[in-house]
Amino acid sequence: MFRFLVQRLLGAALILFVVFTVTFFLFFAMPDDPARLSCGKTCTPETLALIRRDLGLDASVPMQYWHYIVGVFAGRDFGSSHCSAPCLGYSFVNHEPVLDTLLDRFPATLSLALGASVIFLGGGIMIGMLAALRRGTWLDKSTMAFSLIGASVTIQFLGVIARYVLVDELRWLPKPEYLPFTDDPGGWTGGLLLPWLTLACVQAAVYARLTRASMIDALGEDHVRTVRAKGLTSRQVYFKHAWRGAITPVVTVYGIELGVLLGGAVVTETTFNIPGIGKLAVNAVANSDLPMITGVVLIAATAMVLANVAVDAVYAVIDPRVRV
Amino acid sequence: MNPRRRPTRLTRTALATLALTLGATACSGGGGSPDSKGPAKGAPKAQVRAVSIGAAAESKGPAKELAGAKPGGTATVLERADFNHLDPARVYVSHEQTAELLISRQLTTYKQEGDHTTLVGDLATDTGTSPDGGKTWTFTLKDGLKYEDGSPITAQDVKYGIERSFAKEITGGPTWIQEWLVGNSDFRSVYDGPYGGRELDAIKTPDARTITFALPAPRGDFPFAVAMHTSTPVPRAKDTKLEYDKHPFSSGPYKISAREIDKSMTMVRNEHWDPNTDAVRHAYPDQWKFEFGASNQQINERLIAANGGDRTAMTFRVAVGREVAQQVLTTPDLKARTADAATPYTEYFEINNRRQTNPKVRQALIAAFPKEQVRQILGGPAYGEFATTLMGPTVLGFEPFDLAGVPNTGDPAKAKQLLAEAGTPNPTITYAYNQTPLWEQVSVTIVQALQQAGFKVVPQPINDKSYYTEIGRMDNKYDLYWSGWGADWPSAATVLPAKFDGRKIIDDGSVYNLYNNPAMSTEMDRITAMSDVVAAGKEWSNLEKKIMAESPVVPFVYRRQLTLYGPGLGGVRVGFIGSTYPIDVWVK
Amino acid sequence: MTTLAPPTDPPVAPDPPAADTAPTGLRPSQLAWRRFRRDRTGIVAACVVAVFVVAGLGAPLFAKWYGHDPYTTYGQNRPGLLNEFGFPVAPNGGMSGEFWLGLEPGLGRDVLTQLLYGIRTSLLISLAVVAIVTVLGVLVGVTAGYLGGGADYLVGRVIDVMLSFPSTLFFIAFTPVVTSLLTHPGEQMSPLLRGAVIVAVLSAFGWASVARLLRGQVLSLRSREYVEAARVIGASPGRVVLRELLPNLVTPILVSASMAVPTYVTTEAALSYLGVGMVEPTPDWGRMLLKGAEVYRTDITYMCVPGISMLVFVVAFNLFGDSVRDALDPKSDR
Repeated sequence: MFRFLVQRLLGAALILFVVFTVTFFLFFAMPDDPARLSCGKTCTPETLALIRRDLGLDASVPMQYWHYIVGVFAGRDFGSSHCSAPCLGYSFVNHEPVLDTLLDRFPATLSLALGASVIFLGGGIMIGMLAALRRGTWLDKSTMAFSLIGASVTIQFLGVIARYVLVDELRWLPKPEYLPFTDDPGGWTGGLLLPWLTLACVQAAVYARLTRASMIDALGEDHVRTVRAKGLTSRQVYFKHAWRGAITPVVTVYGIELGVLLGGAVVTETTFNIPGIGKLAVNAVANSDLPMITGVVLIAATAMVLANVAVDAVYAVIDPRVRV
Repeated sequence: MNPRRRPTRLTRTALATLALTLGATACSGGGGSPDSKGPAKGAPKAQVRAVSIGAAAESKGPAKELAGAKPGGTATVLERADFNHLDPARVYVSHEQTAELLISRQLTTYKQEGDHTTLVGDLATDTGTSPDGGKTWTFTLKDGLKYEDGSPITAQDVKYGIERSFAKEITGGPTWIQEWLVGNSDFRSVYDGPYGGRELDAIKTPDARTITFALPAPRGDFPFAVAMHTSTPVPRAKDTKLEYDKHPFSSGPYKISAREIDKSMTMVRNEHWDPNTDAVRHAYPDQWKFEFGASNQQINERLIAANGGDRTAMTFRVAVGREVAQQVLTTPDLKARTADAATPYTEYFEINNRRQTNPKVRQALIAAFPKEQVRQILGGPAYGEFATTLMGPTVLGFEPFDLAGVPNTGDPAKAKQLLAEAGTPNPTITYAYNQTPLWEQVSVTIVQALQQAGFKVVPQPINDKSYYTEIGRMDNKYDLYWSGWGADWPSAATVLPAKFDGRKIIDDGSVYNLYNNPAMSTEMDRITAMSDVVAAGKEWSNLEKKIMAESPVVPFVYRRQLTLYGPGLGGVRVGFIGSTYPIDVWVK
Repeated sequence: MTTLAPPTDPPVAPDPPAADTAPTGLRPSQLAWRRFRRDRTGIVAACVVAVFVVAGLGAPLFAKWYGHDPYTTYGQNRPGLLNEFGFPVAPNGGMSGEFWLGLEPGLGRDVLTQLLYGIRTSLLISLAVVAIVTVLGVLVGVTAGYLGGGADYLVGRVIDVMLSFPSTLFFIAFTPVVTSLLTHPGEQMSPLLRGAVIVAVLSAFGWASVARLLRGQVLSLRSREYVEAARVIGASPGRVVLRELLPNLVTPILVSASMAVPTYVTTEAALSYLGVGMVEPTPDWGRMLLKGAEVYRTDITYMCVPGISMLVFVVAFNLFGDSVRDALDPKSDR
């Protein structure tokens, strides 16, 4: 197990390195000069040169790449500001190290992802199992129809309509906003309720369909048939044996999904104005904030790669057939 | 000023004569009334009154108590983006200047009571004295002025604050005082700030409370110029140069206690600020919380809903946009929660006078231009009144006139006729615009209207960030592009020379229309030198008519500022610089 | 949908390859067609999809007959259609006998034709992406799976890297870069080129998941007896791939392609929503949704029209995809 994890983590690091390198060089194709944008209206050539030097933009692209890598391990200085290791660059728009901003925005994204996960995993798996158990009945058909619609609706549409009906008109839910959990747990829950439900509605559908399908598969497998033949009750078959096989694809899909979500649910965060990684990315693109874009891509890729490793590890635990 | 688009640049701030009652104009419209294509509405009934220069007595604190006001509580300010600058030497955008009202003080400032605006001393006991007709200006500081740490504010700090605005790192702010002090528009070549160890000899501080400015040429406007943030005191020991922008050292009634760039900021009371030294700031709330990052629409929706903490929220500059204008202006409860006034900004669609040299073609552009349709997309009447002049109604000497005499919806037939007279029935016009969803929609309507008049139109989107750089190039390849301008103080001297003096055409300058008529420039010099501001106002207006007769731009609208605030606040009003002011606000 | 035994029933015997009571002598495609015809949901879904496709492709013809186009700003040109705030005067977003689905707030363009032309934009982009992604994915996946060894390892790692890119973030970050590389500042990009950029960016990431799927399929097929046999008797690699492998891959390829179309329709809409998709005046659903989200408080109709249309289209396409899979591969029931 230990060797397996180390192996996977090394592989992950390598992938991240490649992702980073590709990102870095791709974005240096950007036509906007970051120094020029930072310089503003009354820009003199001296100021421009100063900013360029401070941001380390006076070096050649390969040298800048090297500086960046050194910065990650040893930290570096940008003009009068120090960016300590691991330094992911310095945003000339926000005037602070990229990592600081990322860490600052991450709790919002994490809150959104985890809260929504609880709802859509719980809801989706339950609906899926019920549907599998009552296969062919109206319950199965109607939940699956609902899932299909849920999986097909776009967040930007559902979010706005839900907000209009549930918040503005009926006033059943508090207005969507992000308040840090540590400041105000009640406000955190209330403000995120609508974003969670919206995101969960779309996601739960996927898990319901997935759970139902894999549950049906699992019920047909040899070892489940065997235990059933031995005379165990349906309930025992269901909850002791079949779910193990059924849960594996759910874990796989969820692992990847979580990785994506932790990299920022861009549309959800934009629709509800949650100051997370996704919103940060949209802003960074709008501001041509190169170091920030690179940083966001890097952290999102990290989340995805780590989620994949985690999925592999969880596999090993829940599915005895997977040998590591 | 137009918050949806760009936070910088266009917003030369403005100090205008207020006293404008816009209520008489179209703002009360609304509902489903389909009369939008009715006859053109007249020029705004703006009642223009000169800002009077107050006597020393009016500079004395404390500010007059407001009926119903009480201290305490927390007020919230919602803005789309964080302030780019808070370093007083670098602010030049109206909402940044508005924030400065809370944390910095200048030599002079404006006092607004009812519809009456007076220039009064802020740090200074009066608005300055000049024994020699405007060449030498002396200010005496009030007693008991203190920074956020309790240390006294000295004349030397005011001097240092101005000196640092010469440094090459400290860019972005107004440059009037710097240029006037050294008599050179390239002022950095004469003096490069205090960081090299040099002092500026033109400013003398004989003692801690006296500061004297010696100008090479008389400047009657000097007391107005020092109302801008360049004259904010900065103690040398607290100057963190570029870092100062993030966390300036407060001389005003509040100080920054926490700041997360692009997300939030909190200001708490500066306990050392003495209301008895301040004639304008009330500072009722205990705390100001700023939230950044929501879109304009989200901010307006929050202010409409006014849930929870948003009951006591306001915004300095997020205007009631097109998406909610109808709802706000037709719902009495919401309309009662708006601050509404004309601003010193005039918006134009600039014509590139170097490319379009035929005046008939320029006249045809004005005749064909669909002002009404464009304004409808930008927000309708809430956006502003249609303009036909170059200066706005808040500038001293403003007189409405309409040389073109075309309906606001455009007159394609007349434009066709003008083009025929010009001998080019189908000239090609390159229309450059800011690449945002809103301006893309505007481009659709402009292209259609101009095509109807016979123009061939090439729409060219420009990246939002580089819009002003691109249209600011002297050799730009565009013919028509939007821009806006506001006076820095209510004199046309901060409008016409900035926009129409051909000698000021430089890359990245403000004469985007590249209009150059030496006769007009000479006339500008003559009027600038006049000492009687009222007489000068008349002359400016005459000159304005002469310039407009050459059709250098398409005047679009005089901007209006209409913002929402929560029902838990009182004293919210649109202030002198065209943004919504915090200094009279209290929490109910 | 084929019926399998409910879980409480006694276990059924493992299905033989063609457990259907199909008459012998029918080709698999004919079988699939029979199964599909019996699937009522699938037929309905297919009809809806067909209606959308026909509506999209026939939009210009319809516009001619209907008398309005998606570009003219009727509301601005004609008094009485929009009020001074730019909202339709008539109720329900200005629906009338003349403008069936109302008018766009602000510009006053016809909503129905915008919607129809919007289908064309969405469909063309997503079909192009699916085509490119499928061809690329199949080529890479099959090659890697068939060759195995070092080549397979290399392709596998490349796929890993591709799938590790946060794709949505990359779309929004990278589309402006490509756009600015292809145009000089201040030059307008033609709608066709812009569409091509979107297709290229979406395809650049999309092929990896198809390739991964195909590679897995080929790896498992490769060891089957009949493939082994073909190789042993000296069939050329081309023959093995074309005659032995590909026919067995048709089902997963078709299924993944039909499932991908609605995904790319929504992705394209998301790009426009985030401001990096198609620009004015090309009609586009994502941009309609963006504007709808802006004006929904005053004119919810304008939000609902593209929102519901897109929902119906995506649901129909998903159902259609399900039915295609059921028909081709009766064992699966997911």
